[in-house]
Amino acid sequence: MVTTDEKGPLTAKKKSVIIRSCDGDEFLVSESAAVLSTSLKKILEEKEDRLIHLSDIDNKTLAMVIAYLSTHADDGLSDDLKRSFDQEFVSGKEFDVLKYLVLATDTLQVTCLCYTVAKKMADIMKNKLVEWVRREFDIQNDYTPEAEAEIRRLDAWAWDDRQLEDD
Amino acid sequence: MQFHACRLTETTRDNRRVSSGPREKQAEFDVPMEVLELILSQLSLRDNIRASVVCKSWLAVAVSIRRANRPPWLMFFPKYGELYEFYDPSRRKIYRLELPELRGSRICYAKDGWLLLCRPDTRGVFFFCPYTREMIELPKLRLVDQIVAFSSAPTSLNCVLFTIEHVSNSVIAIATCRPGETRWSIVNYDCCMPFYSSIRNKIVFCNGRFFCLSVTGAIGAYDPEKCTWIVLSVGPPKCMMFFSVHHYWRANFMAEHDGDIFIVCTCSSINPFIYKLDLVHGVWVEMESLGDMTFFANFLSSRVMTDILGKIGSNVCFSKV
Repeated sequence: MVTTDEKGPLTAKKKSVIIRSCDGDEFLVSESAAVLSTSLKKILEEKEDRLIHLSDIDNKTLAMVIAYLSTHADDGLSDDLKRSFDQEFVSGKEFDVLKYLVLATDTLQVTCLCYTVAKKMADIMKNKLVEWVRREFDIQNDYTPEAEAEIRRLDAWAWDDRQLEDD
Repeated sequence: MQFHACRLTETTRDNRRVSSGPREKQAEFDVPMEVLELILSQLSLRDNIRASVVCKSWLAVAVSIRRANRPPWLMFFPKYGELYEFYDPSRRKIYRLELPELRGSRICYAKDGWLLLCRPDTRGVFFFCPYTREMIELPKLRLVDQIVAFSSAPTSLNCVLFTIEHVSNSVIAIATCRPGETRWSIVNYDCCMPFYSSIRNKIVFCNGRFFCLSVTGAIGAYDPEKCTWIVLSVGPPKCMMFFSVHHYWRANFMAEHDGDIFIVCTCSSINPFIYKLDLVHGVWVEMESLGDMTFFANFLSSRVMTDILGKIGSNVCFSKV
């Protein structure tokens, strides 16, 4: 809900912007929601253009970010409701989905969501095998076997007493 | 599937690798440094160390944000003389310090780098910081078989001292004081439920209230703002249920961490029992493990810490065996 209050010219009238994903789909977003992203806010302040093209964010990820922004721009929702929305927002999401979300929210500078997603990713990474992490992030191991063994030996206690998971 | 960094074409952010040209070597690892930092900084010390084995760039980030806590030192009071010993478990080293100002005193409680001590012969009560040797005197108080605790460092604004004295099975007396005050305020409270207060009480300050565990496993809470005392309708944890004087060798320890209250009970079994207080359901929930916490058990004031470097993490540590 956008009201004509002292929030300044940007939110004075219910204006909308169009955001286009890298797959070409367009989303109509209220300006009050868009400006919750620091990057989008900067673009809107710099130019009159009502169409913003995000060449690196796909449809699915963009739709999720916009759902988040619209919920947080809704003045009718209490902070408690928004907090529980945030928790539900990340729960049950695949690690793969979260990876794209964390990058998109970092690019769009949606600090709060970026933090929440990073925390959820860290929760999933808990007690996982190093091989699992490498696979999920698609990382090539650049250690020599000797160098890796040496690091494992230095803090052997971090590996010794727990069952680590591989899925 | 490749994990590409998304980039806004229409914004320029100075600290980004926007114009870094072809990056074949990093193609498969394209998480911006600040995002990786954000994710790794949420990991426990154990997971952080494991993450450093992923690849060289993860090692650099993991090490740069690694927080490792050192276990608390143990302080030993001398039987004679004024030479106090401080034992650092992480280095297995003993430091000795002459502290004549502590002569004739005994320890009551320790928290936030401060010790609370009393002098039984003069009824004096005072704070002492062993690092700076700063001393803060408090009004005198007669202490009879009771534990005194404090909420936070005496230099903080909302420091309160708290002690509870047994009057009868249905009446207890609570004494409170704030640094700078000239006398203790002592108030009697009737308990609807029996609460046997003794020197074996355990006291922690948590979410604005002092929680006091009695030797029979009853738990009461005192709110220093509202000056209210209630005995909570929480049954004793399983291994404290059948208390008798013959179980004098049994011990329990209570500590607070991050808004939660934990107790450790030593019974006849090899491993101690660990419980967490569930205030909503009014029960002590038995825990299978401490996870990333380390419980430093002490008769007077126990402590829970996370991210302790080395083998003692995830254990219960006793000050003497």
